[in-house]
Order: sequence, then structure tokens, then C-alpha cells
Amino acid sequence: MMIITFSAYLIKHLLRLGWFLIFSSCFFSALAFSTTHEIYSFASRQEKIQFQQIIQELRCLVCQNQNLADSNAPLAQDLRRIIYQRIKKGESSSNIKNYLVSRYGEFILFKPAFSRLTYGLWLSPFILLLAIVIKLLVGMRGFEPPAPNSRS
Amino acid sequence: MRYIIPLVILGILVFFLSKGLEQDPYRIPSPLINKPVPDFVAADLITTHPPLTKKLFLNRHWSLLVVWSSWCKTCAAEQVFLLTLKQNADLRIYGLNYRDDLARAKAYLKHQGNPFHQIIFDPSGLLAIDLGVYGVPENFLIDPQGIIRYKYIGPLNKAIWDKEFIVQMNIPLNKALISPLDKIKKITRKSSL
Repeated sequence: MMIITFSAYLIKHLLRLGWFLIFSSCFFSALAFSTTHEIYSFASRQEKIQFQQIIQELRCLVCQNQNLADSNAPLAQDLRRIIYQRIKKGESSSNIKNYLVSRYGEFILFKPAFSRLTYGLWLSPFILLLAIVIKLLVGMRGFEPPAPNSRS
Repeated sequence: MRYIIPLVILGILVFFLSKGLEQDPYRIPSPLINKPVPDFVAADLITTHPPLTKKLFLNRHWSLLVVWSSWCKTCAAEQVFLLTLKQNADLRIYGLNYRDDLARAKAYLKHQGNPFHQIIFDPSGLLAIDLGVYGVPENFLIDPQGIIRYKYIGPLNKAIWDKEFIVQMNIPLNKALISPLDKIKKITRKSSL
């Protein structure tokens, strides 16, 4: 009797575990998170890493807050194809990015280069930090520590 | 004084935010303005004869290059304007058929009319990337020396044509018509710098 109840208990819980695994594999599997990318084959691991890096750093221009790696828009597919072709030809990452900037402008870069146009963008956090430090220093000047031997 | 500094900061913030509101993030200025049309070799949509190249834009006319597709709804609205433009304006209209099917593109032209002098067929969309295209329709104004002078994203209409394109064409075109060829080259070299 004990054995039967125990095995029933075991089966029930195993089933539960099975369901849990099935559900979790549906929702949390690589499939659930993958965009349907074209499959590109690379000659070396290095080329593959180079490709992944570039498509993560470039903006999809139709779906503007996504990068090329996450987007499945037709233009993003075409841009990935062009990047792939250029990697196959042995072009460097900076060359490929420069080419796309020459066609689409700096906007395509998620990390814009430091230039005449963007120095304000890059320096603003440091300027803000400096302003806060100056404000704090000015505020501290008015504050005098109590003399060590005085009684208040 | 206590209130002035926060007020100034607020003012600066409001200024930049309101500027940001006016800008359409989909109307990005093209870095190709005042640059020559990139080299290309592409098929002709209508004939199977020699492939089209950049030479298309190196004639004595101003050219309008329209990127279109049969699947693009707003292109059809633009097409009506292009047909009237073809009759009135002194320029050649070229098409760039983008990511389309040959048969469907031809059927579209039969149905909507064909304002184009010649049409570049770009089913893969790779030539369009060379032109910095990211949607249809897009319109490039190209001067007689093959230099891109203006780009308009979205369907053209008479108001936009009169306001943006005619101005562009007026200045160098008069010079180009009066002066001999070598002088034209000088002018464009100067203006492209």
C-alpha cells in the first residue's frame, strides 16, 4: 500500500515537473528569444565575433531604437547582408562602419564618434559633474568646523 | 538669485526639448548631399539591354531619382504628381525600383502610368543602401554633373516641389546653361567643396 501511494505521489510530482519543463522550455528557450536571422557561415570564429559586434553597434534605421542584431526589418536584413559580404572580403570593422556612416550619417552609430558635432553630447556629463563639485566647494566655504577646545 | 539659476537651467532644457519635438527622427539629413552619385551597375527594369550605370545622370539635364516599389501605397499617390511633372518640368525622372518583383513592378506601371525615363531594377535593395535609402518613396535631385543636390523623404507633391526643389535647381542651372562645359566643371568643383 505504502509503495503504491508513494509511487503515485512520485508520478504526480514528476508529471508536474514535466509540465514545468515543457512550459519553461517554451517561454524561456533560445527559440522564444531569437529573431529569425538569416544563417551566415563564417570561415573563422573571429569573423563571426566581428559580425556580431558590428550588428550590435549599428542602428536599424526603420525601427530606430533597435540595433541591427535585434531587428528583422527588411532594411536591417539588407544591411546585415552587406556587412557580411564586406567581412567576407576581409574588410576591417572600422572600414565597414565608415562606409555605412558615409551613406546613412552618424545616426546609424549607437555610439557616435567624438567630433565637432558630438563633443557637447560626450562632455555634458563631465561638465555637469564639474558644476556640481564647484557648487559643493562654494557651499563648503561657508561652513566652519567647531574649534576643538571650545564649549558651545 | 536663488530662483534664477534653476530658471535658466529649466529654460535651456525646454529649449532643447522643444527643438527635439520639431524634428522628425525619420527625416535624417543625408550625408550624400553635394556628393556625386556612387558608382553602380544595375539592371534595367524595362529592357534587358546594357546595364545602367552612373552615366545615366551625367547628361545635360537635371535628374530626379525616385525610389519606389509596387508594394508602396504612398508611391501611388506620388506617381500622379510625377506624371504631371514629367510634362512640365525640364528634367528627366528616373526610377529606382526597390525590393520588388519584376512582373508586379511592370503591372504597376501599366496601371499607374510611367513617368520614368529609365528605371533601375534593384530587387535585392543593395544599390539602395549605397544611396542611403531606408524607405520608399525617397527622391533625389541630381544636377547635370551627377552630384546629388537635394533629398526628400516621403511622397513628393507640388507644394514641396515648388518650395524645395525649384530653388535648388535655379541657382546652378542658369549658370550651367550659359557657360561652356569647362566652366561648368569649375563651378561644380567649387560648390561641391
